[in-house]
Amino acid sequence: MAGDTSAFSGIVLATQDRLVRLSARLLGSVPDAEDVVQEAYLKAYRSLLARKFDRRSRVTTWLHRIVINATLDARRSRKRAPVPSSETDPEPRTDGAASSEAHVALRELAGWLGALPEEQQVVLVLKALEDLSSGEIAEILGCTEGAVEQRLVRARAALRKMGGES
Amino acid sequence: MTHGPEDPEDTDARLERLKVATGSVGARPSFAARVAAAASREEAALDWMSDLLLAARRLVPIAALAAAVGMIWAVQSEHAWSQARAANASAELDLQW
Repeated sequence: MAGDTSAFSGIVLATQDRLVRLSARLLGSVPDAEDVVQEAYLKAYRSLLARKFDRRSRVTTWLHRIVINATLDARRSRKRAPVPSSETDPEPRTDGAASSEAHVALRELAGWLGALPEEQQVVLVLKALEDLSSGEIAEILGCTEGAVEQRLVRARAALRKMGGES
Repeated sequence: MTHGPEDPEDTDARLERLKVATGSVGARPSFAARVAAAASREEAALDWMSDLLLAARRLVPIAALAAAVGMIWAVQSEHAWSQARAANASAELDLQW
């Protein structure tokens, strides 16, 4: 059990920045992304303790998959119960590794890509912003590389059609 | 050269700008400690459950032994009670006679 904990801490330290950035790019907020990624880590930890991780995929691929699903779930529940505008932060919190410029950019990104279907947003963020290969994206999403390429083409076409409007 | 609204360069350039602008985003310094604390709580809850299951598992042979002893005692008691009752009945018959 102690070995599990120290191995898990190592995984968290090695992956936390990448996973929080990925989730924040989809959610538009670092604090929200941290909440989602924390839950995702706990889910992964429970699976590791219960020996449910089948080791057919790499740990990072598996974590990416859990974080993406948790992020999309969080966004859907946020859409179902939107926070009234008076309760939202007037200014993004900048008490972290990111500058206020980065927080503004996160919001712009989430607003801009928010018009796309979920699967296109995810593929575009993983490819164009996280620099993952189509093969890696296909493994994370459990689809074919062809499906990844098709979603990318559609996402870019939709963005071009929107003419860069956010 | 200028790019019109349908020019793919606009989309790619904007994606690149947002990629660079959000590249510094990461977990805040307290995040790893927060996850570790939550994982410890999770582990403590799981430990408690597994302790309970272990204790229950240890009790199974003792409970089985107690049940067997109880069963033997019940059979023997029933047998002794039947014998006593039979002896009592024959004594009553003797008295009636």
